[in-house]
Amino acid sequence: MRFLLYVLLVAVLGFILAQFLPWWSVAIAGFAAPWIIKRGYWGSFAGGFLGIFLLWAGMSFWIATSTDSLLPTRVAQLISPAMGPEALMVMSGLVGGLVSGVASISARILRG
Amino acid sequence: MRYLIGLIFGALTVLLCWMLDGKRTDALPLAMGRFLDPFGGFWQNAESENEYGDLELSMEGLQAPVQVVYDERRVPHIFAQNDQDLYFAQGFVTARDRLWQMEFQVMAAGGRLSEIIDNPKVLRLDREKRRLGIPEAARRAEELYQQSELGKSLMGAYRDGVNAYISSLSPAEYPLEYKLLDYAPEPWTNLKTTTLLKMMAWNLTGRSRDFEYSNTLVTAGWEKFNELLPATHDSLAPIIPLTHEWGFDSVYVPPKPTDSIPVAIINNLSLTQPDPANGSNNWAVHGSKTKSGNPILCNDPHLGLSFPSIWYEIHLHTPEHSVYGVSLPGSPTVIIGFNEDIAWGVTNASRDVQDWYQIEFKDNSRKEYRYGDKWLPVEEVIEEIKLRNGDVVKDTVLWTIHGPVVYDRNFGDTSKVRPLNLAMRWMAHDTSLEAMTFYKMNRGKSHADYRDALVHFSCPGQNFVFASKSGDVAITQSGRYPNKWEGQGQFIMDGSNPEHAWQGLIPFEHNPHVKNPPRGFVHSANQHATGPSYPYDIHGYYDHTRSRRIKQALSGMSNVTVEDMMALQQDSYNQLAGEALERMLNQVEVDQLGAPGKMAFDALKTWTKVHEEDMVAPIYFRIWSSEISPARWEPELDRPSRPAWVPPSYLAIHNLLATAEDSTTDASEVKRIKALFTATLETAGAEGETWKNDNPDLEFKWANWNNARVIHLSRQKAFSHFRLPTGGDGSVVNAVRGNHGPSWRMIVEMGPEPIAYGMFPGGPSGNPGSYWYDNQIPDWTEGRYKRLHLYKSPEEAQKTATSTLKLNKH
Repeated sequence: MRFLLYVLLVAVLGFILAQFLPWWSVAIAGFAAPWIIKRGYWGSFAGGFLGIFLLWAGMSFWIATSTDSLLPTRVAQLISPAMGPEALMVMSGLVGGLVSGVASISARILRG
Repeated sequence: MRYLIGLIFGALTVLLCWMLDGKRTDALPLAMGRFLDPFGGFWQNAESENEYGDLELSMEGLQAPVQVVYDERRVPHIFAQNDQDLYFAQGFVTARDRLWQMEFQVMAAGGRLSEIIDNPKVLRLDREKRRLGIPEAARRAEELYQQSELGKSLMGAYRDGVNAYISSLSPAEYPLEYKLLDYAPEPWTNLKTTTLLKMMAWNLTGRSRDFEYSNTLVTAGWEKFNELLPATHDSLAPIIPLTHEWGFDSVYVPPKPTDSIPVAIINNLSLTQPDPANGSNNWAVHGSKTKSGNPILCNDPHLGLSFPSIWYEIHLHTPEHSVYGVSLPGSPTVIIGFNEDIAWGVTNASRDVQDWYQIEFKDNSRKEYRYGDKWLPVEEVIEEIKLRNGDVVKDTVLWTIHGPVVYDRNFGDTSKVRPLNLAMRWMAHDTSLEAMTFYKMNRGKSHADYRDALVHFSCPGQNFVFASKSGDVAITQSGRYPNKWEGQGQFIMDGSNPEHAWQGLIPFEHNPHVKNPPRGFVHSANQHATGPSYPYDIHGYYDHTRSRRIKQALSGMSNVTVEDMMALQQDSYNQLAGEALERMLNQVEVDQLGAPGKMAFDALKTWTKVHEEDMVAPIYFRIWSSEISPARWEPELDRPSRPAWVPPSYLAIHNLLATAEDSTTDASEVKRIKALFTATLETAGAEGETWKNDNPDLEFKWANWNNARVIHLSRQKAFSHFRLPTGGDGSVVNAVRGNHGPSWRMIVEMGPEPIAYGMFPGGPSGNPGSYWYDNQIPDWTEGRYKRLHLYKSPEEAQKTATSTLKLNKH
C-alpha cells in the first residue's frame, strides 16, 4: 500500500511540476518523494521509476488515442522502421522513469 | 560514506539529465528526454481531428480587428480593413501553419544551415550559397525595399505578423521539426523575405549548361554546336505565334565580337544545380472558343513535390480588393491566383540569365582584375558562416563587375595548376522589387493593370498568362533580360573583354507579349518564346514536348469547358511517341534482340502512347528515348571527367530518323542507326529486368517505376509519401516525374463571378502530426479538383467554415 502511495506521489509531483518546468522536473519529483515517504533503496528506485513511467506512458497513451496515433506512428517510423506507436509510448515511459528512479534512489541514500 | 554514495548517484542523475537534454552523442538519434516528454516533447505536436476550434486573440500591431475564416479545406480567408492589417494577418496565419518551413527554407537559401546541422556536406552547401551570391542579392534587395514606402510597409507588416506568432510560442508549442533538429525559431526579418524570393529565382534560373556547352564548343566547333542545338527549327510551337508582327521601333542588338570562342575547357566542376524540370504549364482560352463565352485560364507550376507544399493557399480581402490563390510561405501577397476581375498564372521563361566569366587577377593578392585596358578593384565580401558549436568559418568572396567569383583557388575543383577564377553574372544579383508586381497584380482590374504590374518584375523571368472578366487573354514573357549578341553567354566568356560583358537590357516593351491572338488562345510550357522573326537573341533551356501537345490540343478544341481543361491538365499523351514511336520501332532489327529487348519491343508495339499508372510500355519508352542521344553523341563529345552535354532526346531522335529514312543516305550509315536503335532498346529491356530484380516486392508498372513521391523537407522517409498511384511523365502535360510535378493545379473561368478549381499534393498544415498535413493527396492523384471560394464577407465564408480565428487589436 505504501509503495502504491509512493508511486502516486511521484506521479502527482511529476504532473504538477511539468506544468511550469521542463522535462527534467521528473528528476525533482523522484528526488522529493523519499523525504516524504520512506521506502527501501530498491523500493525507492522502483517507486520513482514507476511513478514517472506511468505518468509519461499514460499521458502519451492518452494523446495517441485522442489523435488516432497519427504522429506517434510517424515518429516511431522515424526512429526505427520497425517501431510502432506503442513501443514509442513505452520508450517515453522508460526514459522518464529511468531519470526519476535514479533521482529517487539518490535522495533515499542521502536521506539515510 | 553514505553522503558520498548519495552524491555519486546524484551526480549520475544530473549526468543523465544532461545526456538526454540534447543530442550529445551519435549513439542516440535525438535529445531523448526532451523529445519524448509528453508534456513538452513531440507528443505535444499531435493533433486530433477537431484540433481547431474557434479562437480569439488580441495582438499588438493591428489597427482594426481581423477575421480569419478557415473553409472546408482549411484554407484561410482573411478579412481585414486595411493593407497593413491584411499582410500582418497573412504573416501570422502562414506562420501558424508553416513556420518551420518558412525558416528552414531561408536558412538553406541564405547559407545558414550549419547553424542547425553539424555536417561537412552542409557546410559546403552553405559556402556555395554565399559564393553564388544569394545572401548578398537578398541583402541588396532588402535595402531597395527599405527605400520604398510601400515596399517597407508591405514587408514590415508581414514580418510583424510572423513575429507575433513566434513570440506566442512556448517551447512545448514549437513545431515538431524544431524539436527533432533541436533548435528554436528566431525572429523573422525583411531580409528573410527577400532571401526567399532569391531562392525562388535560383530554383528557376539557377540552371546553367555553360560549362557543358563550353566543352562541346571547344571540342566540336560552332557549326557542329549549332547543328546539335539549333536556335530555332520547324516544329517549334513558340509562345508568341509565328505570324505575330512585332512592330518594335528602334531595336538595337549588340554586334558579335570577333573573338567569341570559349576560353576554357572545364574539368571536374560540380555546382549544385536546381532541378532541370522546374517549369510549368499555363494557358488561357479566349471566350470565342469556350462554351460559356467566358475566358478560361489554367496554370500548373511544376516544382519539387515537398511536404510542406511550396505553396500556401490563401484568400486576402480588404474593402479595396479580394484576391485568392497560392502564396509563398515567407512572402506577402498572392503569387498565382485571381480576383473579381482578372486571373493570372506563371510558367518559367527558362531564358539564360546566368553567364560565366573568366577573371584575370593582377597578381596573387587578387585585389585587382583586368577589364579592358584598366585594372579594376575587387569588392571583398567576407561571408561569416556560424557553426552549431559557435565557431565561425569565414569565406572571402570577391565581387567583380561580372558578379561574384564563385570558383577560385579556395573553392571548387578547377584546374589544380592554375585555377580558372570564374565569376557568375546573374540577373538576380541586380536589385528589383518583384513583390510590387504581385501587390499590383492582386489589385489589378484590366489588361493595362496587368502590364503595369509586370514592369517591376526582373528575375526569375516568367511567362505571365492573363485573362479578364472583360474578355481579354494575354501572355507576356516578363522579366529583365540582357541584350545579347548572337550566342553570347552560351559558353564561358572572357571577363577582361568589355565586349563580352552584358551590353544592356532588352526594353520592357520589347519583351515577347501578345493579346487576344487570332487563334483564340495563349499558352506556354517553358518553350521558345518566339520564332526566328524576333530581333533579339533569346536562347535558354527550353521544353520541346509539352508545349506542342498543348497547342495541338487547344487548336483542335471548340466549345471549351472547365472539364476539358481538367482533362488537358492531366493529359499524359506522349507527343514524342506520337510523332516517332512507329518509326523508331521500324528501325529496330528485331532478330538482333534478346529476350528483354523483345519484351520491350512487344510492349511498345501495342502501346497507346499515354503514361498511365498500371502500364508497362511507358517504362520502356522512357528509358529507350533517353538512351538514344547519349548513345549517339557521347563517343564524339564526352570526355569522362568533364561536364558533358548531348542534344535533347527529341532532337536527336528526329535527326536520326530523318537521316535513316532519307533514301540518299549511305547504306552503312543507315545500318549504324538501326544498330543504335536496336542496342538502346535492348538496354531498355535489360534495365527493366534489373528493376524487377531490385524490387521483387513491387509490381513492374509505371506508377512504381516513376515513383511519384512527396518528400518532407527534412528528407525523413517517415514524413514522406512514395509511389503515389498516378500517371504522368516529365515530358507530358501532366508532368509528374518522381519527386517533381504539378505542385498546384488551378483552373479559373472568368465570368461575372469567377468560377475556380484547384488542387495540390499535400495539405495546408506543415505539421506531420496534423490531419491536414497530407489529406489532399488522394484528390491530387485521382484528379478531383476542388472549388475555390472568393467569399465576399466573413458571413458568406461561414457557409463552409471549419473554424474561425478573430484577431483583435490590443
